[in-house]
Amino acid sequence: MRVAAAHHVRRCLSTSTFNPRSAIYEKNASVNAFVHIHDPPPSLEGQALETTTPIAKPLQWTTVAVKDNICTSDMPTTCSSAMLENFTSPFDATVVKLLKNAGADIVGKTNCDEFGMGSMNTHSIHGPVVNPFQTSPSVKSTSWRNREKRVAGGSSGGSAAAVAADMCDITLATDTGGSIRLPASYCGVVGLKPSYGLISRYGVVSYADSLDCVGLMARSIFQARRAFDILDVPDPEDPTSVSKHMRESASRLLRDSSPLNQSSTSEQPKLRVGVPQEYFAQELSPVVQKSVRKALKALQNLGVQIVPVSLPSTSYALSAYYVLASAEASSNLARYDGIEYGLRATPPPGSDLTKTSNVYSHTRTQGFGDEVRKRILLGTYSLTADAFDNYFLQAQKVRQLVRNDFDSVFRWPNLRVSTCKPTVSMEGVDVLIHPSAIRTAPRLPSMGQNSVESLDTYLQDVLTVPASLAGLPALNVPVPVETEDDPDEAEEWPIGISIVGQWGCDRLVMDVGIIAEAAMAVGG
Amino acid sequence: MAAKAKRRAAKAALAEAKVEKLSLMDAISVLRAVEVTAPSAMYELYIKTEMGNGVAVPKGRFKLPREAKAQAEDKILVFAEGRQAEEAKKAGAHIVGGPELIDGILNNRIRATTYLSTPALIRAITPRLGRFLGPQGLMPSERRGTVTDDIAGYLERIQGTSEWKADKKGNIHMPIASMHFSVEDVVKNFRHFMISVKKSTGNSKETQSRKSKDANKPVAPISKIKSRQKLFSRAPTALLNDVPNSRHNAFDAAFPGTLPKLNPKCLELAIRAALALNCTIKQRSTFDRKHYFYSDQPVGYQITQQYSPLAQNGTLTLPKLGIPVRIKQIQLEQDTGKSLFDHRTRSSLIDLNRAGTGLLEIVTEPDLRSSEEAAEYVRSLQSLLRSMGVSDGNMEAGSLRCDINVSVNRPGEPFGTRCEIKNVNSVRFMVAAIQHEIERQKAVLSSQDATGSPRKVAQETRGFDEDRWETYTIRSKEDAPDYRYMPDPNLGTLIINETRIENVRKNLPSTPEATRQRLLDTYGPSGVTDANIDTLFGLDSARDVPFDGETISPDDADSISAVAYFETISNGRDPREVINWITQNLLGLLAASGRPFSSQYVSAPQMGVLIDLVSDNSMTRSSARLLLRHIINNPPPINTSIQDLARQLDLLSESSGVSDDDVYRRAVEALPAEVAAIRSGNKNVLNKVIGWVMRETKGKADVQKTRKRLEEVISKM
Repeated sequence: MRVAAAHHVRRCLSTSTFNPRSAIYEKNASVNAFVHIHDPPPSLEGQALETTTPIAKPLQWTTVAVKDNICTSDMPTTCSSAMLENFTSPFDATVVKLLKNAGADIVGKTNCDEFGMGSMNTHSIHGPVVNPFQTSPSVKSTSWRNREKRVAGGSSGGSAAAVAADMCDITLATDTGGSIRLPASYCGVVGLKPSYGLISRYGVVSYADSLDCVGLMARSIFQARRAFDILDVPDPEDPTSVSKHMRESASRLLRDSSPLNQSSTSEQPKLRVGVPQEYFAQELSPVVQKSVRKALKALQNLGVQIVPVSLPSTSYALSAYYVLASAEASSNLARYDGIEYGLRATPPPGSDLTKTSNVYSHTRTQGFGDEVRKRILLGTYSLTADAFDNYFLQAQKVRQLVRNDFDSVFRWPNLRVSTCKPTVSMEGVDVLIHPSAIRTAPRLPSMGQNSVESLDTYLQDVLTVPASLAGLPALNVPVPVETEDDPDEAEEWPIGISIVGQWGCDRLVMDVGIIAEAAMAVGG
Repeated sequence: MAAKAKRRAAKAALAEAKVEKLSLMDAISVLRAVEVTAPSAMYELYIKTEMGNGVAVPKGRFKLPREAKAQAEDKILVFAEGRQAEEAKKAGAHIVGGPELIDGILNNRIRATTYLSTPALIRAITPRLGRFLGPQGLMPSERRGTVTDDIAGYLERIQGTSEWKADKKGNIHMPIASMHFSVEDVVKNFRHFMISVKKSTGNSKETQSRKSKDANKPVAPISKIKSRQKLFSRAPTALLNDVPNSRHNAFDAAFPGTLPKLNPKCLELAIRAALALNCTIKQRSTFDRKHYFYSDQPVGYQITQQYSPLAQNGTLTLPKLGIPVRIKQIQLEQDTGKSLFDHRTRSSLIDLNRAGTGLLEIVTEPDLRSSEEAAEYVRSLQSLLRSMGVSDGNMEAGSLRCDINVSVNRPGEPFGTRCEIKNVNSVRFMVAAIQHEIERQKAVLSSQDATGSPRKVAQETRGFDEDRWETYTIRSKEDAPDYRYMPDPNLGTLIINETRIENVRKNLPSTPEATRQRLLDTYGPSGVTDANIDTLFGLDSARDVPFDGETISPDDADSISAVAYFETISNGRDPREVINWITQNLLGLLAASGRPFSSQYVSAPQMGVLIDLVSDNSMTRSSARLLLRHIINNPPPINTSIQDLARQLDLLSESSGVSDDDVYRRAVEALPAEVAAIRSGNKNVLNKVIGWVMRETKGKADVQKTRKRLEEVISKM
């Protein structure tokens, strides 16, 4: 591991110190990943060449971009919404503060779907993000204008594209129902959605508080983990941030019982990976199915035990997710009224101003995009007295069923529910592996052409929402694309697998990810 | 003088209108006719109010639409420097300056009727002026709003208003208009003044008890939790006179990315309240969002406890009526900001100082049957919350306000439809609102609709109009908003374990009832009465409640409560003697100089020594009273011994018998005729001789002793 670290530092130094922003200036016009580029700190420019300077801080020389729904005091935070187009937060989010303190060079803010709502990063006042993946060497000679344009995925499309296009080392993003894992899968990068409550949400603009997680995107699991180690600390400003005590018992459990930590001579159980059968439904495209199978095969060749498991409530998860996320969104977005900050639309003369809501409606109609308005209306409805029991409460029940499903397949106890001394079972699996998305990145709707919004758009999240509902750590790892039976070159577009673990098993998930990377490198 | 005639006429016309049957308009006509030659004479208004026992003298501030006469000149002194000094001068302050004014004030060269200070200077002036202005009730204080950065705003608010005050019998006398005013102006001024009077007297005539109908009133007082910080943010809670929008942070202003964080002090005070009200505290409770759009609610929802409140099933027994009132639940919630509509600019101004302050909502079961019961409930809840340090219970300042549900039914029949009256902010208004609402509902129930069947009360939300003294519809049931309650996803479940409850219980202050009982048990046998204890409680009801359940308030740091004052002095002395000295002498002298009670004028040890000097006959009662008056009016330096002071003022009784006898002999020699009268049997004349002795000794002689000695001297002659 130490060798790898040293190797990595050298790589970072060689690729990003001289002008970390040159790649951004060069590529952003075509990718549209960045919505704000931050000037380098003056201290950095002077020191850039002094490679002999000992690295004092863990993220020194590391370039980090921040999704535009995370507050920064020195850059605007627009959430890709007209509502906050000129808004700059008075404070830095805890995560931004932690990374700055660790020496990271914050290079800018990245594009996203408005308030994190979307799966393709097309709902943005800054325009859509273009997937920077380059299918074959021949394409590189084609000018950007003439290449096939695909979406980067959403909602953290800009963050995924920035990493994929080598514009920065790491990006901070958020994941509510798959917003990190889906674009990571479409762009072919590593995306980590940690366990709910491990990373502070203070300063993260809420979409759905009970689901929102701050996570990381990078080109390697190693990079993501460096930032994760900095961010995995309790924050008194976030009431949902878990205590030091709970973090310690999670890491103690992992240290004592992880199959990866045992000496090879002992008779310890092998790493067991569960494959949930419900995630291989008919919507899954054949190329994805094949590629994931091959990745699993490679793991098996390394001696990992592959176990089929069932998560029967999976089919209800997507509807439950949209009810809950929309309900919370309708509540969280009620604050954008044009009074304290942000856009304010003056009601035209003659408007009915007898009610406060009539005054607000002008601002809210003008400030929110179609997708956000749609979800606010849906969420408002599901919270009305008439609908509450049938929608919101039902969805809460489904959420519990989804959690129970996960708890019953893992050998690891769920520290958030168990009250007695937690023990690791000999039965059950260590992690689950399944495809991150049902397909490769869809084509970008061309300019001016109204994308046909259908239920398919929402279906893209079907594989990612269960882990969000249960608050579990999930990691997207790109896998080699299996194109043998399919000559269509276009299908070389990236595919990813998701590794999902029990709550608090984030480091186990990343370790398995590293093993998978290695297995595929060998197997491929 | 012409004014006399008018006064008499006005009295006849207005105060005794029932007897004379003169309407206001007629009375004005009569007066205008009589006083045709004296256009500058005044219309003077006499109002007799009915004052119950123990009710404070009614007083208030008013501003007449047309000023009747130039008001007595206020002289305003402001401690301010720099830009603020300029602003204060512009706003009309008479004297503006810094600590250099102190000497002038101390030697009375500089005098003012109102003293203000900016927070920056208060520390500089307090050490020297505190003991001088404090006892006169003139020292600037944050609590009174006279320490403020907004001097101009304060001056603007008091500008042009004057105070009226009834005399001890409740009579109010006020010139309200000049004879040359138009009739409309007179009527306007009259109405205006009457509203001010009604507001503060509560128009307190009680209606008679109802026999045919019962009224049921679940009351939900909402009290502001006395914590330094808000319920979910670290912003400081606002005081009444804070500059608008100076007490909030990003969370209170609903900035994106902010998250709520429960203030543990608020929770502790809520647990105190729940324990004092004998509630069951729930191990797990939750917070919910109540959604509605209003400009004083920046986040679009209020965090409250709709589904699972903090505590349930308590009781509060009304101390005077002895009726147990069941408490349904206690919940924590956030206060809103304030929005003020400015008619001139047709825009709303929003002040977020109050936004997010912690509130406790205490909901009763429908156990209250009359406005009297409701009033006693609110009053005893108020004193309970104060004694627990939970809230200062100040209704005028909005620290306690009530939502009242009123329903009317015949005895034995189920409850009728209830109407909710929102946000009533004084006990007086509450009584009036309930009474009006009962009468209104009775009138509806006893009337018939077009088909001849009895009408029904419509369920609705009503408000109380403080000017018209009646309730009005805010919205009907059909218009009731759907608040779309949703569990707050950030705050999760609030878990309160037994240990935590026990910790609060251990440090729970004693309830007013327990304190009363303890005082009665301890001091009752010595002759201290219930009424005496009422007096002490009454004095303490004006004290500041400290923040966060602490025991000392910064405003009252050098002053102890009246109960503590009494108990400290009583230690080793006759409690009856002590209570009498406090209630009859100290309070009387303070009242005479228009000051509220505070233990700082005469400290407990000083008062103790003074009482001791009287009981061991070193000083007569009247001398002790003089000494007390002297101390109050000329605060001596701290640590001055009372004996020394008494000696300096020559108030100690003469101890040697020789000089005594000398006085008696001189008295007898000075009044030979009187002595002769006494010797011939006219004993009453002895009093005259005693009076002579008292004058000679400047009141230091003891009356009984003098009488005895004089009788001896005269009989020996």
